[in-house]
Amino acid sequence: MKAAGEQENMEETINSVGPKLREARIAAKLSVGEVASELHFGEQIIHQLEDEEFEKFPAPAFIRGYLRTYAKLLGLPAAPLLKALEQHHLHAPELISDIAKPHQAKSTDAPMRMATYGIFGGLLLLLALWWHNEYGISLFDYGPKTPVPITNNAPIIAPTQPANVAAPPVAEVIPPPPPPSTPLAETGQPVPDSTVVPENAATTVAPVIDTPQPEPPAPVAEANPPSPQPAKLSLTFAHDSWVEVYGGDGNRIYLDLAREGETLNLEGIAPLDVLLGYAQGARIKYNGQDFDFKTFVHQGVARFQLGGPETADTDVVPATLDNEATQN
Amino acid sequence: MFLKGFRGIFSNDISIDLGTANTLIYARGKGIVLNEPSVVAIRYEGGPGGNKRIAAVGHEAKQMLGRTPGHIKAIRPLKDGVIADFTVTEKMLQYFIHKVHENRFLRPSPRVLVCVPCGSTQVERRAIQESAAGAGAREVYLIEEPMAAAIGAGMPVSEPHGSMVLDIGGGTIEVAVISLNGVVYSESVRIGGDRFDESIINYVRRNYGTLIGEATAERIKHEIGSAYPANEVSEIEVRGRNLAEGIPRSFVLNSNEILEALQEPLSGIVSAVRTALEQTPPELGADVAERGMVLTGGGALLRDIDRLLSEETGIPVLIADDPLTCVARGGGRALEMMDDKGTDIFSLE
Repeated sequence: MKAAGEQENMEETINSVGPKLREARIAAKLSVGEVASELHFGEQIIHQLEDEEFEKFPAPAFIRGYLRTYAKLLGLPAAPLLKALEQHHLHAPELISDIAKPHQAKSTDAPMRMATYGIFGGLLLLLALWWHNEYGISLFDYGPKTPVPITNNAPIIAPTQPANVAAPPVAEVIPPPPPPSTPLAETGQPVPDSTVVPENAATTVAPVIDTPQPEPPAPVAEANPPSPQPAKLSLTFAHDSWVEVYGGDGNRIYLDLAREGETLNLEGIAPLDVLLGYAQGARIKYNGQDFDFKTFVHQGVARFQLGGPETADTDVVPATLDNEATQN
Repeated sequence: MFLKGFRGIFSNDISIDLGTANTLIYARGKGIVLNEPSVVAIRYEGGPGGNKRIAAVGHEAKQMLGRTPGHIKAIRPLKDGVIADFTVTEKMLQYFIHKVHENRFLRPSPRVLVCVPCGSTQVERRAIQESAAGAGAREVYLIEEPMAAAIGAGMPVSEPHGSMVLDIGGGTIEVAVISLNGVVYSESVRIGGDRFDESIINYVRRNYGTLIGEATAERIKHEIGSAYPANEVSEIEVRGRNLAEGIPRSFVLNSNEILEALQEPLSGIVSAVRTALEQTPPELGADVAERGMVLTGGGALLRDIDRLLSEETGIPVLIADDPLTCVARGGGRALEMMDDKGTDIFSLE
């Protein structure tokens, strides 16, 4: 019963701050003036509190302070009154700066955070790409490409040696003698097409020259002979040197460090792009001919092309190489 | 520098009320996240010349005050609102900053706003700044305590009206008149909660011939301390070492005795407030007389201190909501405002 009474009392207090204060003051037989002089408040403040004219106070902090002091004088519990005050939605005064400043970007701002995450994400992505380019390709692609060229100290030129002399495409590349053999004359036009299929060329060209085979007659001979035989490159090293050789189809033929005394026999589709890291220690034979690359040596490194398209037209390898050198 | 900035992304901006008695930390968007005594217990390993290690900080260390064995020393690294022991303060701050950033993978590197007494010297301010930076802060701002207290109390500091605030801390009282975001008059007096305790200890020794510790004196102050004669007299039973007999004795103190004991520090506070009112420009003084003065800080919880000041000065005296946390909350609001309006609004350092 008592609890219920208290509950009601509480409800009443919550609904009305001013009347409750006035009631308590009258019950304590105090006039507004007496209260004001006791608390050293202006009488106006007491009236404003009792009439609930809260908007006239400078800030909520003052209202709460006055209310607390007044309630203490009247012997009222301050907490319910303060709670009731919250119904009036009194907010703390805004902090206003007298110096108008534009908003400064801070690291805590959401866009700044997003930008930071973005930059870090981008950097990580770039790192991953670089890693893939640097190691990913060489790790996965190195295997399949290398087996073609590496034939150390075992020149396998023997089967293709005759072709160098007789076969038309190879003959084109060799500088001194432009042999006007009959197959060349016949197959002058289809040369570009046949460059795509080099392997067939080696097998098919030989029979045509050696022995006129009965089974594959003229048509076959016309289609296949023009295909160029793979260009053959023989490198002998007196010193260690880095070697890079790329074929005309863009495939890497060789990429490694050649050791002193090593001989490399490579073959690929002309033109061959060659890079020698230490050119002084190398000797080159291209299709069985010595090739002098001294003009391409720059600070010990030699870069040149063997059997370029110009050479194919003019049939003079050194001339084209010289041209390239001058261009370079 | 870059790494600090990166770590800062994962840290909350915090405002620290580095008080003589208590340190409070307000984290942006979280409110008061730490309220611990500014006490550090140090363990000496391998004798007095040996290594020093932090044994406890905060509440745990405060329980050790006056109860430590030879190799542990519980100390308060701040005296009169300023740093007395630089290294220990740095360690304490480091511990507190870490505590409010717990369960973080990276070492925190927040922006920190520290509240300093307005009477502190440049050297003392520099020490606080260095100490906070050493504790891992990315940027350190200093704000004067009364300004932070006024903001925290919700006073309209931006308005062209005088607001008077009296912050009674553990080591100092700060009285200031503020208008247009600036301090017009400020004074810092090295009287505070600690002086109240000391006065109680001295009173008991003089009148009862008994020695009591700081913790007991503080308990007496909290329970029956008052600043103005009350209608009811309350009592407390305490134990102390009788100086003549050399053995612990218990005795009873009443609130009137404590009021008498506190007369000296209280009169110091009253005279500081009177001086402030004398020195305030008349327009602002009129505002203060009309609106009243606001009390903040732990000392505002001393019973009837508002009554005492009101009777002595004749102006209304109000106690702020939650006076203990006003300074830290005000610092937090200042931090938030700094983000919107730039760092130079409060003439921060």
